[in-house]
Amino acid sequence: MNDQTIKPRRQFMSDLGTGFGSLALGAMLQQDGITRADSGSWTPPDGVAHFAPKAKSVIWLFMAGGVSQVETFDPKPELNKHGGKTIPDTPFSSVLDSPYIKNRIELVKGDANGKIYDKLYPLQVGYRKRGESGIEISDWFPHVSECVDDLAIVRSMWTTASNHDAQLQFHTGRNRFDGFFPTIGAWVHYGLGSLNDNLPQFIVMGNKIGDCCGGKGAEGGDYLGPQHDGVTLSVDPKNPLPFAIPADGAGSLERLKAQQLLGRLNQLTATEFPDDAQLAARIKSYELAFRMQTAVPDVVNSADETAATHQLYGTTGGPTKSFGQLCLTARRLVERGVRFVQIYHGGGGAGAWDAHSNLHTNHSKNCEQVDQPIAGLLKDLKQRGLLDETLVVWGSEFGRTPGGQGSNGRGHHNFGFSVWMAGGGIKGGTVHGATDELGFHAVEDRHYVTDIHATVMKQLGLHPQRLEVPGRKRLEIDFGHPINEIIA
Amino acid sequence: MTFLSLFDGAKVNECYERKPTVSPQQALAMFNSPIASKQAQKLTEAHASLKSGDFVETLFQHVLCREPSRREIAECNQFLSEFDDSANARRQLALVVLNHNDFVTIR
Repeated sequence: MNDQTIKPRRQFMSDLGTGFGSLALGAMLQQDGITRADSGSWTPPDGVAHFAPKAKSVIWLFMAGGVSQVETFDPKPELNKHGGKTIPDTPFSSVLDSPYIKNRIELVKGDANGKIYDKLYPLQVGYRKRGESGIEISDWFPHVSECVDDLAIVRSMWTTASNHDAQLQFHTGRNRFDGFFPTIGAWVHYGLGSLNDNLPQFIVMGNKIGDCCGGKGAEGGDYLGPQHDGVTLSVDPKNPLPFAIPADGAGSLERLKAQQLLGRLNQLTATEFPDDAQLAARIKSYELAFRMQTAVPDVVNSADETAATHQLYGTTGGPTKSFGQLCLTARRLVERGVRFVQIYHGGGGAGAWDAHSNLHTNHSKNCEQVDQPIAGLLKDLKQRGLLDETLVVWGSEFGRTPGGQGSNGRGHHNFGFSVWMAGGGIKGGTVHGATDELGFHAVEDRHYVTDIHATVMKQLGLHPQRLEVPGRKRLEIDFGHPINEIIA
Repeated sequence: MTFLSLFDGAKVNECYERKPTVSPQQALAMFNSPIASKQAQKLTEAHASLKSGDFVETLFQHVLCREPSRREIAECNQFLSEFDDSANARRQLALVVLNHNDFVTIR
């Protein structure tokens, strides 16, 4: 591989695809930011935005298990009117003839979770118009409702996985059967490098996604390299960072010099193995680790926050305490210049929101845990003038079936669900896209999950096409399209 | 348990495909944990009778199963001499070698 006259296999293959005949087209596409330069002249991103960004940081709130769209941000009165009837007995029987159902690919034959439940189940909670915009939101989100004029709700999301591997898909844009790919957080990290040198730039908190559903893959850098993986932080102030304090020799000059020596020794090995991404990542992670020793305990210790702030996030106790601490820490992180904060609620196994039965109990409990903390975060960011530069994204891997499962639950539903964004140059008080009267199919301005990714990239000033890595061709659907209608 | 979970220890009841991880917390665990410190202490004691140059060479052989390069020897010796080849400096050096990439990964 040291012989420069022999082209690496990947470059050879990629050169075949973009040979002489496509030179002119290539140059034009590159000018438009649609393709990148050929691999021969390729250099990794320099950490500078491609165009003026609207947002500096992203807080990504992911609810694991599948949140019912109709009982949260896309209420459907027709479900109350026709509750108990089967879909063919309503005026909306055509939803079952939709090509979205007919043309779907059943990746797992007979998967009980991909079922269509056609006996309509009435809404389990009331809803009302909120804010100046008058957007209808369920009564399970009373606090977030107070911020509705800052939200842009996209009610027309769809995805392809009908099981919880959709959690991975929501973050990578690819179905689990395609394998693992870099996640949105990793792309941002890859494209924009560092705002703060003492803290990781891509931080993950909360209950992690189960291995069944993508596990670490949902926060991974994959082929971008392990240095772009999300770094997990826990918010336990008593033990903010495990092993932050050396078992011996803490604070001594020997200790400090030893840390530096290790860096130099590994660097010597790195010059010998320049293609070893794991080694490069390890050197970086040791350097970062030594700086984190002091920065992390400070950031997760929220004792210096006022009582009013703790009240706002609900961190003083009760069901909001745990998620409130995560949201409060997220604000402290973006305040210190962390680029991408990914927070899970209810990860592990299928996910806490997976209400196949007892939806009322399940969703009312989960909503209560996250509602006040999320609203607290939005309000706090706003009062500190940070909301303009912080993009907050809320989502779940899919929605839930308008039809009931069993006597009191809803199944998995990937044909239509809701996501919302706020801050970071997003047009507040907006509803974009729509599902049909039953909340079944996304019918207006349909968006695949990567359109959320593309919107995030655009607000951060990045052309995802220009970040493409030689030998790793991405498809148009991988990049997605920014949802320009919700951008201010 | 903390140590294991930082290294993404497998869940005993699951057998899904899992990803390799490299995280800064792992670096802290390898560098700061009592187990690392204790092993460094043991290594230092085992080779306490050696002169500083031999100590470096033996340490590399013992932990990494290879000879140090000339530049590695120079770096390590300079570190030791900065602290008059003290026991603490030797222990820290042993810790450094235990954290060397060649020890913590299999190539």
